[in-house]
Amino acid sequence: MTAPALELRGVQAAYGDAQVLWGVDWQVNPGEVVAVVGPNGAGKSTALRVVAGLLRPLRGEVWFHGERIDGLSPDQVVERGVALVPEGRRLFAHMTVLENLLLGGYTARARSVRRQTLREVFELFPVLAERSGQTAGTLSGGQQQMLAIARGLMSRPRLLLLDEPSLGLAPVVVQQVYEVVRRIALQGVTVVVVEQNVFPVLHHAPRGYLMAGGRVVAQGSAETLVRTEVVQRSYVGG
Amino acid sequence: MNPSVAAAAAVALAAALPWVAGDAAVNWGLLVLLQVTVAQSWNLLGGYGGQVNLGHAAFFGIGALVTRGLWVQGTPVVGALVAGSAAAAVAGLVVGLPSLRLRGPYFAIGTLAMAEILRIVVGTTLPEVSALPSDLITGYRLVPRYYLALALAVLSTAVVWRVSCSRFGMGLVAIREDEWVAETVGVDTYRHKLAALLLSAALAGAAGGAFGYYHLSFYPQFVFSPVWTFDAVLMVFLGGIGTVWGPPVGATFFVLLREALALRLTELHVLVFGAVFVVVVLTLPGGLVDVARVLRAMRVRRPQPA
Amino acid sequence: MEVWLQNVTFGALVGGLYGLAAVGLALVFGVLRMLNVAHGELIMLGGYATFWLFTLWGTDPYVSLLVAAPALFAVGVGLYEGLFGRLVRLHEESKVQLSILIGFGLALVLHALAILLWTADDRAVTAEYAGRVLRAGPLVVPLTRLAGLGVAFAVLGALQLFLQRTDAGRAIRATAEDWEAAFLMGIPVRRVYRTAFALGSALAGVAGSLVAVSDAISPAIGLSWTLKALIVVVLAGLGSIFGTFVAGVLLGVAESAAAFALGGAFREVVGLVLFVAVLAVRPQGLFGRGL
Repeated sequence: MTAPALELRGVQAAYGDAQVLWGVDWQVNPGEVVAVVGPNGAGKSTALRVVAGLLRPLRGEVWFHGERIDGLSPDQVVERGVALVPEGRRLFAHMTVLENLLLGGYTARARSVRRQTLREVFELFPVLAERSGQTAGTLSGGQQQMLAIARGLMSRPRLLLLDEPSLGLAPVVVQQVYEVVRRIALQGVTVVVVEQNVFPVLHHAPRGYLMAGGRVVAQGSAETLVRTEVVQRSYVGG
Repeated sequence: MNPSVAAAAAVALAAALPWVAGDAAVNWGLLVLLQVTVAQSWNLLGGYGGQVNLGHAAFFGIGALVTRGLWVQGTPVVGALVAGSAAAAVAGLVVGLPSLRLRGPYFAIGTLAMAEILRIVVGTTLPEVSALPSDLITGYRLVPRYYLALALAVLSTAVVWRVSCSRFGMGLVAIREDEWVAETVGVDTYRHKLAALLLSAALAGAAGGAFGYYHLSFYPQFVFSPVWTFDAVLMVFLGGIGTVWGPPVGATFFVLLREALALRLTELHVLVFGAVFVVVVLTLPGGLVDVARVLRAMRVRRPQPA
Repeated sequence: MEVWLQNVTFGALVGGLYGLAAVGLALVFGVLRMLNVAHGELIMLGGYATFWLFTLWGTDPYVSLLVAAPALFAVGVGLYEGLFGRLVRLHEESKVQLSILIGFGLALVLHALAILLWTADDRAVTAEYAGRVLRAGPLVVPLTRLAGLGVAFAVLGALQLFLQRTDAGRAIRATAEDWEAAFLMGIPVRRVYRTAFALGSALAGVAGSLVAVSDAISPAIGLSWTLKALIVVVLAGLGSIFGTFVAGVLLGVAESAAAFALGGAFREVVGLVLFVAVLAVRPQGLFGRGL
């Protein structure tokens, strides 16, 4: 049996004295597209930050293709093949589209094939090729999200983590974003998508986790999550 | 021991010193008390309000020159001291009004610039040694100067204590912890910082005034030396920044250590204490008054975010 | 009129060095969010490096740049590893403030050390061309000062190219703009911090060498150079290297104009007046942006 692409075992994490994660378990198989949904403050983004190495867990382990990666620094995690496209995109707004992309392919592993990756990325996002000389801050919201994803792809990840890619985008644009996610997954990249609610990911992720209060409260098919989420909402009155 | 009991005991001991000890000890005690005021005045704004003042020497120096000038010309020393203290507060306004409105390092830059510029200007305009006229030297007695220093040390510590348990003090601490949050919960951050600066500058000016009253002769430029600022910062960190009792502890420790090492040469003094300072800042951010807590905490280290 | 012109020219030549000093400081602040107020003392060290190379072995001061810059780069690495690098995990506000305090302590220590090692005397590199001047009509321009301006300009141009065109340079700019996002690109942020700090120190080394030839050095020059650099950075912000260079030239001109019109003591006061004026006019502050 091959090792899972990503596995979280009992991960607990805190910002200073405020504990946010209380034992999170995920298991994501190679090539899967998995959704992680849940309300604001559920700990979804924190879990992604732990995977990316930006936050060290208090307890628990993170495994990536059979290698333990908690404790590695973020740049080492990227070098292993994990790319996080963070919430709010976090583009280098004063730098050009091309510079953002080049930075995405900064690691030694990515740099050796950077030209080719750039060609592939431009094929996937033709609009970025047209605007490569423009500063990132001047792009539209949808284009910025595309650039953020493209920048993540430049590191040639085996695992792509997307934190709320639909945030602040028009429904049409959200569809475009998820069309791109589908095409990325077709190339064999494992994808974990975090969203506030399940509807944007419904048709794109066959399976997922529902998180609340720093724990996984349900997992299963998209339909299961929808049902649980609706029940949960009626409980908390959201 | 209860801190207020300890404080009363310390003040009583200090007040008794001239009755039981010789001139050398009194002189030494005076230096400690003077430094308590210098440290406390920096602590008020730096320790509670979190504003880094790199030009404390300017306030000290202005207080020293103004007080000494007026006193030598015949003003009663208390009046001269108040004038010196007020002059220092005005200087505080000049640099604080524009720079405290902004977050970031502006205040540190402004105070550093002011102190250095005053030092240079004073050095070029008053190049002669300031020595006391002979009639004042004949009447010179150490004990009244000692009690003046004691009074200022008690006053400055009382002010810091009073501030630390007031709404004003809580506002300052809120600013130190997070200025944005302080503002959103309704603290007028600008006025808080300005008020703390005025108090701090006035106290530093008074300490300078006491120095001008105490010292027989010095170059006017000397009281503007950045070493005064450095010593203040060092004593505050050594004792415990943002606490009432840290600065007196730090000042005592500092003067003791300096006398024990007999660091007459300014360069050696700075070299040794510079190293002490860096070690304290990097390894003991709570200062000496925090040692017990740090030792406890070292047993239960918690992981930090990366 | 001619005296005025002469003064302005002089001021501009000195100001170029202010700009160079300020760029080093701004680089460190922009990337690490730390203010190294011992920057002037690093300039002083660069000056002594050049002075001793010249005095002991007769090394040409412009050749000794090639030693002073790497030497100060190494000093920067050491200071980062030993002192400033220990602050990087702190919260933004305390990071700035502790860096200022540590820098202040460091400044006094380096000052004291220089006095103990090399005495408090003024020193200058007296190369055989030190006294030569160029004449352009009524203007007299000392050769070393002109060369200083040229070297400063060239070094800043090279820095600009490095930051814009190379992966390492882009990594520095990315870290300045958003260190967390830079981490997610696989950029080793701590190493970038160290490089940026060392580069800032190397720039101080270059500035120090130029000061040693065109002016005099002593252990005491550090603080005043730090102040010039700080004021230039406040004037220019962190926007661009050449903006900072121009602001440096402006400060130099303003200083010599004030000294000429009002007397020598006012040279130093100009900086404070400008500082207060800039804060009053642009209260939103100028430290905002990345490189």
